[in-house]
Amino acid sequence: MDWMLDYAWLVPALPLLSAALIAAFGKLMPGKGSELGVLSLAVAFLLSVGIAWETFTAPAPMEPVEHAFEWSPLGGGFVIELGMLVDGLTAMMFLLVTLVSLMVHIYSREYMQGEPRFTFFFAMLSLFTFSMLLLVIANNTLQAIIGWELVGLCSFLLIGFYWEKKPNQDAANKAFLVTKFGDVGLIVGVIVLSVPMFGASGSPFNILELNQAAADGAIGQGTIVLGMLMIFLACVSKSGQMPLHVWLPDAMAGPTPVSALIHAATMVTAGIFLLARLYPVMAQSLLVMSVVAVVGVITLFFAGLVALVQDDLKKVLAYSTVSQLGYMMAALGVGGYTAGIFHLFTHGFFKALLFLGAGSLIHAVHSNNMSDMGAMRKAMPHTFWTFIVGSIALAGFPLTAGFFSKDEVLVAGQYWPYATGGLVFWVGLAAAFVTAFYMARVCFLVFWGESRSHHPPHESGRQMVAPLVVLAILSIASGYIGSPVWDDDNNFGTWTATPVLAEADYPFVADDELGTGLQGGGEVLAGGAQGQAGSASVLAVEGEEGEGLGAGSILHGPPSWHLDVLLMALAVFLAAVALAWRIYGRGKPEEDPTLNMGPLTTVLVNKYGFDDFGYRYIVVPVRDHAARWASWSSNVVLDGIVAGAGKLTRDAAMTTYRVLDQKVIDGGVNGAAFSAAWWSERLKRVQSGDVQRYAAVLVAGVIVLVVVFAAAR
Amino acid sequence: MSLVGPLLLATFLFCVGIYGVIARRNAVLVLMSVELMLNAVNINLVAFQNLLFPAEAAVSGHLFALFIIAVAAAEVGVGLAIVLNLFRTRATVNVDDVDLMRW
Amino acid sequence: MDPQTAGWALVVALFLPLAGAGLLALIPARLDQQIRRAAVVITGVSFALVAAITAAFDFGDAGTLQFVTDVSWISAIDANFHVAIDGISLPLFFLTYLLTFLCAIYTLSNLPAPGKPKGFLGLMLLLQTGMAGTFVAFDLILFFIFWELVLVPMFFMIGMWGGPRREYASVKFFLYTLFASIFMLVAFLAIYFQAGAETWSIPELSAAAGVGGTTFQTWAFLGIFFGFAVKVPMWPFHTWLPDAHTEAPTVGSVLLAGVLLKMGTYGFIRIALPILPEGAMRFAPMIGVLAVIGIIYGSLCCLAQTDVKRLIAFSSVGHMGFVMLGIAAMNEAGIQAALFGNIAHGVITGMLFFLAGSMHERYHTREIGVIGGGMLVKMPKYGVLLTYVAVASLGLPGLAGFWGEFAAMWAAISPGGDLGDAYGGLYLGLVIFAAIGTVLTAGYFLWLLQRVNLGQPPARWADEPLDDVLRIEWVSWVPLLLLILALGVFPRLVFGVQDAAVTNLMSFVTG
Repeated sequence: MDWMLDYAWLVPALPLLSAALIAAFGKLMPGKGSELGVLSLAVAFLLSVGIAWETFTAPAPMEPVEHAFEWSPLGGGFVIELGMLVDGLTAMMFLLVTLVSLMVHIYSREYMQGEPRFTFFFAMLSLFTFSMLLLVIANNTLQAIIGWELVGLCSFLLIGFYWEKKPNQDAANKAFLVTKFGDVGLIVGVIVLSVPMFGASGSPFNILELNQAAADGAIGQGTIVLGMLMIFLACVSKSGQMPLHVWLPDAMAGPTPVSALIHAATMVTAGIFLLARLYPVMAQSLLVMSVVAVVGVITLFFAGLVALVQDDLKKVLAYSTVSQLGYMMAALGVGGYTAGIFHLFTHGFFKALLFLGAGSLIHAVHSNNMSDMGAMRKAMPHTFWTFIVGSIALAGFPLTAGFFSKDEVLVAGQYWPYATGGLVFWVGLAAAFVTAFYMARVCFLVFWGESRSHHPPHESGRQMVAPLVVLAILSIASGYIGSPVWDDDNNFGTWTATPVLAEADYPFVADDELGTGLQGGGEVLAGGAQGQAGSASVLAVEGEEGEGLGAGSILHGPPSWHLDVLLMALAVFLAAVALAWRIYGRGKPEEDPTLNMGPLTTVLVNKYGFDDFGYRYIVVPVRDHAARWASWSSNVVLDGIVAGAGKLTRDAAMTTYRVLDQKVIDGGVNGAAFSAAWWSERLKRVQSGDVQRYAAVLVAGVIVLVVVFAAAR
Repeated sequence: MSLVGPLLLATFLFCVGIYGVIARRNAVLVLMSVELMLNAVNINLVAFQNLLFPAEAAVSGHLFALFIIAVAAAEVGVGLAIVLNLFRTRATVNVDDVDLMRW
Repeated sequence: MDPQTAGWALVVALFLPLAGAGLLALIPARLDQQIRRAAVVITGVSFALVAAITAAFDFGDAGTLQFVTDVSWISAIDANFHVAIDGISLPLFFLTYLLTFLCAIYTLSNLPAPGKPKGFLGLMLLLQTGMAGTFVAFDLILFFIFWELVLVPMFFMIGMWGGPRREYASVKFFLYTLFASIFMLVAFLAIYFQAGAETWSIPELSAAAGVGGTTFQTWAFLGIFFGFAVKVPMWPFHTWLPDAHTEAPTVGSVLLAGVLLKMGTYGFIRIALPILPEGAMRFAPMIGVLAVIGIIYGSLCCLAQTDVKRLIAFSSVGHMGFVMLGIAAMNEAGIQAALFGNIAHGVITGMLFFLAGSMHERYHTREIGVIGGGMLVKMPKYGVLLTYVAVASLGLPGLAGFWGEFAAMWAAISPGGDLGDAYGGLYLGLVIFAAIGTVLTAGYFLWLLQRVNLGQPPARWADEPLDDVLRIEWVSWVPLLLLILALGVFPRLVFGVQDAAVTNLMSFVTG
C-alpha cells in the first residue's frame, strides 16, 4: 500500500482530468457530464481513503512523503517546483475534500436537474476540487498560491452562477475582490518568507524547509512577524474572519451545493489549513499567535450573534460557518494545532450536511426563507433527521463530532498560559451557547410549527438523500478518531502530527511559565477520566520512542476526558436549546418575536420574574440589540467600509484621470506642442517672400559682421 | 601697376550691383545687377592673379573668372527663362508683385 | 540549419516582410482579396521561417548569440550590420512574427474604412521588419534605425485607418516617441565617443563592464531612460498610449500592445542595463517607484473609463509597470520576470484588443454603457472568451499573466547589487503596493465583465442579430488563446529559454 502515497498526485489530477473532459465532451454525455465528475471523484476518494489509511497507521509522527520536479527556472539559479507533500494533514484534507466533493457531485445531479449551464456547473465543481487539492498537496508556498487563487476563481464563477441577476453578480465580485485583497497578504507573505530561504535550495518556497528553518530558529523574528501576519491577512479574507467575512454571507447567492462544498466545507477552511501547514513558523512568534487568537475569538462570537436574526436559512448557516471558522482560528492562536484542524475536519462534514439539507428544503419549498417553511419534518423525514443530526453536531451535543472537536478547542484555550487562552475558553463557551441557540431556532422554525410553504413540500429523491445520510453518519462518527475513547497511539493528533511539530517548541514559553499557567487548570484537568494528573504529562506526546517532550512543545498529546468542559458544554447546550424552545417552539416566525414572547413573558414575569429579567437583559440585548448591532456593524459599518473603499477608489480614479492625467500631465505635453505653434505664428512673418528684402538683410548682416570683426581687430 | 585702381573699380561696380538688386523693381534689371556684382568679383580675381602672383604657373584667378562667366551665363539663361514665364503667367516683371514664397 | 553558421536565415526572415511589402505594391489595387491572401502567405512564410529558426535554435546554449551576421555596413562611422539572436531575443522575435501572421489572417475579413488593403498590409509588413529588427540588432546604429523605422508605418496606420480622432492620436504618438528617441540617440553618441573603442557593438560595449565614470553613466542613462520610458510607457510618460490605442485600427492596437511597447523594455534590458550598469543602479529605485505608481495609477484610471478600448489601453500602463518593477529589481529573477511579463502582456493584451475590435465591429460603439451588458446571452462564445482573457490579464495563476507579476514582485524583495542594503525598505513597500495593484486590476476587470458580459442585453440590442465568433476570428485567435494557457501552465517555455541569456546579461550588470 506504500505506493499509494507516491501516487497521491493522482488525487488532484483526476478532478482536473474530469473538469477538462466535462468541458470538452460533457454536453454529449447522457448525464451531461455529471457522471464524469462523480466517477473521477469516486476514484479520487478511494485513493484518499487509501492514503489516509497509510498515513493514519504509520508510526507517529510520520515522515512526510515529498516529491517534486523542477517546473521552471526562475532566474538566478532559483526554480519553481511543482510537487507533492503527503503527510497526515494532507491526507486528512484529501479525505474531507474528496468525500464532500463526491457527495456534492452526486447531490447536484438531482439538485441542478434542468438548470441551464448544468455541464458548466459540473466542470466548475471538478475544477474547484482540483484547485483545492492542488493547494492541499502543495509542497511549496508558490504552488499553494496557485491553488489558493484558483479556488477563488471557481468560487467567483459559481457564486455568480445565476449571473442574470445583479445581486448575484455583485456577490460574486465582492467575494472575489475581498479575497483578492487578502491575496495581497499571501503574495507578500510568501515573498517575505522566501527571502531567508534563498540559500537553502533551488526552490526558496519549499514548505518543509521553511518549517524546519523556523523551528530551528534560523529565521529572524521580524521576518516571521511580517510574513505570517501578511499570510494571516489572506487567511482572514479567505476563511471569513472578521472584519473580512463580509463576502461569505453574500456568497450564498450561489447554488446551494456550491455553498456546501466551497463556502462551508473546503475553500473557506483553506486559511486554517494554510496556517496549520505553516504552524511551526507561526509558533515562533507570540505576537502572531495572539493576533490570530484575538481575531478568531472576535469572529467566533460576533458572527454567531448575527446568525440569530437571519430569516434566510442559508445566511444562518453562513454566519454559523464564519463563527466556526473563528473557533478553528482561535484554536490555532492558542496552541491548539490539533484542535483547530480537528474542528476543521468535523465541521466540514456536518456543515456540508447542513447546507445540503438546507438545499433539500429549499428545493422543496422554492424559497430560502424560514418564514416560508415550517412543519417540514412530516413532509421530509429523511431531510429532517439528517438535518437534526447536523444541527446537534454543530451545536456540540455530547458524543457527536462537533462536541469532541469543539471541546478540544476549548481545552486548548485552557492549556494556553496567556490571556488569550482564557479568552478563547470563555468566549468560546459563550459562543457555543449562541450556536446551540440559533441552530435550535432554525430547527424549530423549519421543522415544527405549521406549514407556511407556498408549494406542497415533498421529500427529495435518492440522489439527494443518500449524501445526506452519509454525511449524517460522518457527523457523528468522524469525531471519534480524535476522542479519548480512541486509541492513544493512533488518533487524529498523531495522524496530523509532523516531525517538525513534534520536535518544535514555542520559543517564547519558558518552562516554568507554562507550568504556572497550567496550575490553575491542573486541578480541573486532574479530574479527567484518563487521570492525566500533572501538567507535564498532559503535554507529553506519546512519540515514537515514547519520549516526553518539553514544556513548550506544540503538540498536546492524546485527547483526554475533561469532565468540567464536558459538563459546561452540555449545560450550555441544554440551556440554549431550552431557551430556543421557549421562544421558537411554536415555529411562527411571521409573528414578531417580541409579541411571540409576549404571553410567555407575562406569565413568567408574574410567576418568577426570572424570565422577564432573562428576556429583558439577556434575550433582548443579545437577540435584538447585540445581534442587530452586530448585523448592523457587519452590514453597514464593515460592509460600508468595503463599499466606501470601493467608492473612494472610484472617485479617486475619476479625479486622478480627469484632473491629474488629462489636465496636468497631458496638459504639459499638449502645452509643449501649443507653444511651438504660437511661436511659429509670430516668427513666420519674417518670411515675407520679398527677395529684395532678403538681399537687403543679407547686406546689412555682412556690414554688421565686417564692422564687428573690424572692431575686434 | 597698383591694385588700388582695379579694386576701386570693382568696389564701385559691386555697390552699383547691390543697389540694383535691392532697389530696382524690374526683375530683368535685378538680374543685370547680379551680373554687375559677378563681374566686379571677376575684376578682383583677375587683378589679384596678375598683380600678386604674376609668376604663378597655375592661373587659378583667371580660371575662376572664366568659371564665373560660364556659370553666370547659365544663371542668366535660367533667370531670364523664369522671368519670361513669370511675365507670361502674371503679365508683370515687378518683383514686388511676386511674393508666392511668403509664409 | 546550424545556428552557428546559418546567419542568412535570420537576415532572410528579417527582410522577407519588407520584400513582401514591395511585392504587394506590384499587385493592382483592385485585386482586393488577392492582396489580402498574398499578405497572409508572406507573413505565413516568414512565420514558418522563424519557427524553423526557433526549432534549430540551440537551447542548450541560449546565452550566446546564434544566427550571427556581422558585416561592416557604414565604415565611415564604424557602423556594422550586426544581427543575431539569443535567449532574450528569441521569444520576442517569435511573438512578432506570430502576431503579424495572425493580424494578416484577421485582416482577411476585417479592415476598417477606408479599406485599401494594399496600403494597409504594406505598412504592416514594413512595421514587421522594423519591430523584428529591433529585437535582433546588436549594433546601436542599426538598432536605432529599426527603432525609428517602426514609427512611420504605425503613424500612417493610425492616421489613415483610425477612429474619429485619428489625426490627433497619430501625430501625438509620432511626435512624443520621436522626441524621446532623440535623447536616446544623443546618449548613444555619447557612449560611442566615451567608450574609446569607437564601436557601436552592443556585445562589445556590454563586455566593457561599464562605459565611462558614474557621472557619465548617470547622464547617459537619463537620456536612454527617457527614450525607452516613453515607449514602454512608464508613468508619467504614458499619455500618448490611450489616445493611440483608442484610435488605432484593431490590428494597429494589437501590434502596438503586443510588440511595440516591448521594444522599450527590451531596450532597457539589452542596452541600458549592461552598457550603463552604474547609471542603472542609480536609477533603479526611481524606476521602481515610477513603475509602482504606474501600476496603481493605471488601474485607477481603468476604473474610471467608459470606453472598452481605452480601458484596455490604460491596463497596459499597469501591466508594463510590473515589467518595469522587474527591471528595477536589478537581479536575474527580475529580468526574467520582466521578459516573461513582456511576452505575457503581448499575448494577453493583444488578444484583448482583438476582442475589443470585434466588439466594435458588432456594436459599432465602444462605450460600456451603450453596450449595456448581456453579451453572454447575446454572444455566448464571445463572452466566454472575454472572461477568459480578462481573467488571464488580472494575473490568475495557471494563465500567462501570473508569472510575470508574481516573479517581478518576488524579485523586487531582494534587489540586486547594493540596492538591497540601501533601499530594502523602499523595495518592500514597492512589493506591497504592487500587490495592492493586483487587487485594483481584478477590480476593474471584474467590473468590466459585469457591465459588458453579465445580465440581460438592453432592449436596443435584444433583436439585433449580432454574430458570435466568426470562423476567421477563431483561426486568428486560437493560437493566442492556447498560448495564454500554455505559458501559464509551462512557464518554462519562456523562463527556460531566457535563463542562460539572462545570467549572461546580468553578469555584465552586477559583475
